[in-house]
Amino acid sequence: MRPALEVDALTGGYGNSFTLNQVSFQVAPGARHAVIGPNGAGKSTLFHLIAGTLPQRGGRVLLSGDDVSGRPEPVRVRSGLAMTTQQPRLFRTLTVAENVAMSAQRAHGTGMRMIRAVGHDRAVQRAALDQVAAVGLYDRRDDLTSTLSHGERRQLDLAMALATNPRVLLLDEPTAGVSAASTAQFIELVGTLTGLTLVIVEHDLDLVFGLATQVTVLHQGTVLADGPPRLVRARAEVQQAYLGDGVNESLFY
Amino acid sequence: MTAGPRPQGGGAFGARHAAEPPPLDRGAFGATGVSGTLGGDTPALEQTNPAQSPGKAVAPSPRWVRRVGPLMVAVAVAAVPFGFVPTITSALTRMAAFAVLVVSLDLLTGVAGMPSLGQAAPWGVGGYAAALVALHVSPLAPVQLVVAAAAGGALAAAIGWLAVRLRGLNFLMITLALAELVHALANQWSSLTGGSNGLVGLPFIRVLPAGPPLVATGYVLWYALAVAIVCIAIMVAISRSAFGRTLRGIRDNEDRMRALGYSTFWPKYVVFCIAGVMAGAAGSLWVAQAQFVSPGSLEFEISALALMAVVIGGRGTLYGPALGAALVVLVRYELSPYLSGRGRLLLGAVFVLVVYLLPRGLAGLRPAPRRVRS
Amino acid sequence: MVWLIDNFITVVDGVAFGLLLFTIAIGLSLILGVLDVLNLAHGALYLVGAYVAVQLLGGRTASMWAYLLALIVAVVIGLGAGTGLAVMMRPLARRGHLDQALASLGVALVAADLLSAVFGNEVHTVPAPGFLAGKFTFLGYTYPAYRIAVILLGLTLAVVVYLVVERTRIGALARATVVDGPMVRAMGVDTRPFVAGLFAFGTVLACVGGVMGAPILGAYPGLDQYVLILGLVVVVVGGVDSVLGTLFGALVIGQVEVLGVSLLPKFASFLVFATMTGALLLRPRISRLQAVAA
Repeated sequence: MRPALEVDALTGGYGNSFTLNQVSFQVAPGARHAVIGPNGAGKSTLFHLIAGTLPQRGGRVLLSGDDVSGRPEPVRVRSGLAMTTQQPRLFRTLTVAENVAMSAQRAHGTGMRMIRAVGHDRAVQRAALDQVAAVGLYDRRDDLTSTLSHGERRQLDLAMALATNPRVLLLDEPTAGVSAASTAQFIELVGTLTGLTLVIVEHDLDLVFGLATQVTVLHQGTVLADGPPRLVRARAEVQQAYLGDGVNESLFY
Repeated sequence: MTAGPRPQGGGAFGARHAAEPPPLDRGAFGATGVSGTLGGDTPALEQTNPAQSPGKAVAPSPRWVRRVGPLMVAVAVAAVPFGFVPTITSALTRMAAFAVLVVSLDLLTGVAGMPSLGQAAPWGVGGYAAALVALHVSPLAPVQLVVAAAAGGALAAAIGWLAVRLRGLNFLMITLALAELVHALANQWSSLTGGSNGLVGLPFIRVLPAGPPLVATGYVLWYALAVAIVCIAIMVAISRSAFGRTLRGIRDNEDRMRALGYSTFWPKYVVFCIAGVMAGAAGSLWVAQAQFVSPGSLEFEISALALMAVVIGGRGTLYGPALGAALVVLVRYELSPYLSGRGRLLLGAVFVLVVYLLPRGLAGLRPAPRRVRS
Repeated sequence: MVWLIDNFITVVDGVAFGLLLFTIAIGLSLILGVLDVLNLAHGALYLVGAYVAVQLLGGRTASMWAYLLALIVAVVIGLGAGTGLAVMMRPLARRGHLDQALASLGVALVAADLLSAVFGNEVHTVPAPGFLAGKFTFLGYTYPAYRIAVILLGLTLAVVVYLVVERTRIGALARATVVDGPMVRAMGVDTRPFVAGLFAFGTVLACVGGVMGAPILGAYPGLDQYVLILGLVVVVVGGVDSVLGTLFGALVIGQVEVLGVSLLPKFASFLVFATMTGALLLRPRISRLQAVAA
């Protein structure tokens, strides 16, 4: 079966630097694939290269076997790739529901329609409200984004990403800066996203090893380890990368 | 994490607490990202007046007023020729024509967030097209209108293909540059445009193939008013459609729109062309009453006046700029002789005051309507 | 080569005009590049300087003292106007750059109309001052002495501006702000004096440019728009990153405009705006914005 997402010798970075160098791994369909690594390892760069917001300097990105390297971001999104970011980019003058509707509208293909006022499109409204409810923001649906807490903004970001009907969802540190209760909510939500392939960048290693089906470890722009969580966390290099040399205690118990 | 009472919206009468003004974002003109709006919080569809406190129920203006209001204004304007001198009537015609131009600019700038100082180009090209048709082909106003609209649209299609790839200040500059190019062209291509003298001696327009020429200013006003109403109504409908929502999304956060899978080029290109078509139509209306066109129609000042009208009226509201257009024409042209020619001074002063005191323009003075669900 | 010799005077004229444009454009460029403000009142400030020259030099042959006085008055007015504009722009800063540009547009309209009210609508010509009113011969060609004076004055100004921007701490601060504004602000800069000072620097250059240019361009309603638009063209072509870039842009546009008017009058304006459009499409880097592909 073709991997839902594959990166092959992916190379790139900001400006002239190669933050990421020859990174390769595959994500199986339906997987919960975690990408971990110490700070500066290139995790966010990886996501931006996959999404198409950073230009690649080498290698390929494949979505279900289809080479999308060089295609602009909107095209990749339309091919089924979505991403949530650590700092959610929202439409500040719109309500929660309207934000998601903006996303749902494109997914329904009505973004360019000029006839019929927007209020009459029931299908898009319903789809938007469904996603709003799915992430747990239903009672905030008519509130402006400026009234949301950070965690709620991330939930909204997720709802917007889900409304694009993705096949592969990239989650950049989804629980960073978010309360423990919200983290639990997030884990529950992930459980419901069964058709979807998830690639998660995370620092919360408990979460990673509890949730992930596969783990890729990045270190200084290259892949250090890639495999099932059990095996990855036992590897000495991985522990070394996080903790440095000469430390005996185990990082992961 | 919000301090104080959480403003709840929704329901029939909830007046929503408007979003706080965007933080200073120095890196871009008409910034995307966090602040996301061009020159402040432009209202999406119909937004609440920020002066209203949260949660306070405000009786919205009754629906019948909102529907009938513009109709009453139109009827009142149409009745003017019966009671007032022709100069006033032709002034209203000019206002109607300019209003269509200004609303087209508002669609481009206020709704889609593409600031332009070049709408004089399709306006002037439309005017010249109408004049050439009037002189060489037909005195039928509808024919002139269609040709002018097509000419404006064609110009926009040609310019826009490259221009809309730029954003913010770069886009503003290229619209200015291209409008000046067209202006220079009108001055130089004397064989077609009559050079700096322009085209004079246009026949009176006719509306029906076998009909009489519309010599009376009243008839010309009715024609212009009818066309203006149709054009503005079309633009309002577009603004309220899903496409309008897409445009506002691009205005408020273009990068996020791309991240949602929108190609941002096509909506921007299409709205640029629509604005060109409407501006061209507006140009033909102006020429219909002036019976004359010259490179003066393509001057930078026209684009600047249009932009001022948009701001005075209220960016993004469409109806506000229509009124702003009337105000600008009134102060800059009609009242000028009574102010010892100091129309520009008054207009400039009013404009500066509006920029400081009325960030949402005249439309912002309206009491908060119920938030319309998108 | 023969062509160059035949048109030498026009080329020299182009250099003079280019340096005049530099004086105008560098102020625009600094205010735009460092403060992110599109100062649409810049042309009006030039016109103010031009009318100062009209008032002090107009009519009869003027003296060098009158000219110097005009320059000093222009500097004073420029300082006042710059400070005033900086104060005006401050409350609008949080509302975005379009609002600031619009406010300056309103100011320009008011200023231009006030000037029309005071000086009337006719074209005023200004004689070159003192001995500069004559011609002088060099290598068998005669040029108006004033053009040469403008070239020398313009070059001096260019050198001064270059040294201030590239070699002083204030200049370093300005350049740093162009490259990474938020960082500079995080360092605690962007205080009111800096902003006001930078604005004033730009507006003084505009006003002085008006005095300098008066014997060449005269003074009349509408000149402010002409100067503003050409200034914007130079800013676009030369970029906001460097003084040398603006100088280069100014010389190019000055040459295109003058040669164009003289040799290809039908195409002169066309060439100028075509250059501007080309620069925007190939290298759109005003105010740190990049073009976005479809």
